Amino acid sequence: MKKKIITSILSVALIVSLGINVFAYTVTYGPTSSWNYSNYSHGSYVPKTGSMSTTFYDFDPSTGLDDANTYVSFTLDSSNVSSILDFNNGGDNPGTEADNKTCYLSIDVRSKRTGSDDMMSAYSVTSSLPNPKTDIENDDIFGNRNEESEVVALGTVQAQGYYMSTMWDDYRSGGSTDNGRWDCQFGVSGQYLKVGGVWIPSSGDYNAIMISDVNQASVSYGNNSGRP
Amino acid sequence: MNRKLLKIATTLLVISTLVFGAVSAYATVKDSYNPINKYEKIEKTNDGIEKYKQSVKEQYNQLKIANVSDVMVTITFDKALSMEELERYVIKHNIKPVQIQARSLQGDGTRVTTMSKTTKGYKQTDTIIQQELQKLNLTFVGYVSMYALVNSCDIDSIQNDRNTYLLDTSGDMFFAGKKEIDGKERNKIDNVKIAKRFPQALAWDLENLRSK
Repeated sequence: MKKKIITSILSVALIVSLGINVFAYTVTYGPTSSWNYSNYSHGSYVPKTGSMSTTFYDFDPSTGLDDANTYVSFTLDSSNVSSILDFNNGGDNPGTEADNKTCYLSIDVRSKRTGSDDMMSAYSVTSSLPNPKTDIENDDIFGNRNEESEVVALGTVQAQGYYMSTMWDDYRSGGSTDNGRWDCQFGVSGQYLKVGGVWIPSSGDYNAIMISDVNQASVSYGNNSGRP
Repeated sequence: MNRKLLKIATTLLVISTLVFGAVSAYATVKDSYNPINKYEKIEKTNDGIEKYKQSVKEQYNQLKIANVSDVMVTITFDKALSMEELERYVIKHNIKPVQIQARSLQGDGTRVTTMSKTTKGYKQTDTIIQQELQKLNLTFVGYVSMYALVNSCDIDSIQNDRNTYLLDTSGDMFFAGKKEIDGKERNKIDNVKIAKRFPQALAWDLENLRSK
């Protein structure tokens, strides 16, 4: 995976006035991680090119927690689309694991903690994917925050560019283990639960039936909130 | 020796019974409702969506008779609402928002969806959403759906509101056999992953049908 660090840091005090709310904050653009594959060996549904960029918002303490943003941008080509539509139809899907299951393209962005607490908690997802169902959740049984942001595209995808932007509450406070990283991974998900090695239809939970063998992008963050 | 074996066998039997019971109970409740599967089965035509709407409305009476609180619902709005309209709607019907979905458009007309938790309060959530749209250079259309908790005594007024297309109650654990009056008790089995139980809103399909 190719990691590209964008070093440009803008420290601009902004006053954003929207309706009755006024927030003062400093914006810092963090690292970007990109991928560029020559083939589909990491999954027929995985776009060959894409990136995850990061932005950090250092708010005036009186307005509450700092924020962070992860922005995943990618382009589906006609081969990806053909594969994803095949998964959408169920039946004899690409590979064997997902056969006879209706699955949808899914993107996970997960915050990986270093210490005992998750320092990033997702609260908002914006996506251009068709008819998305989102899942902002706590998947870490030892964690206490929404460390995972997931989007499942229930609509019909096309060969074009898409994005998924997630806003995170930033709970870091300079502690020695407050650092961590975000991983972005593509998969195909369905509403199934694996019990004794067998996938059965489930309620509520939808899971990645197939997931890329590698993270498409990873970006690390340091120990202090509002900064990369 | 035999006594030792008997003890081991008894322990194993107890453990396996407990595990089997837990798994069975889990599977029974968990398998009772599958929002994506249910959504897939809706025929995406005017007739198909109307038929689904009627089938959901037929469930209301059971909830009203039981007089339960905090029913898990997905509300699809009949038209995109402004923040002010959403605020009035929420207050009028005593709704506890969980997540709101906003529609916006790219310059080329591509639809974009913002899905935001409302733990910061829906007014601040609106501000955050507007900031996000501004950053992404999107044109805000309005709020098209929401996940929420509502009391069963408010179901009729919500469904009869001209801004409501459908109040979908299908995801509540009441229909999985859980009959606690208190919604937080009733739905606690899924409290960690509660967002996944909310039915998929019909806004995307309504937009498709109405644009034809």
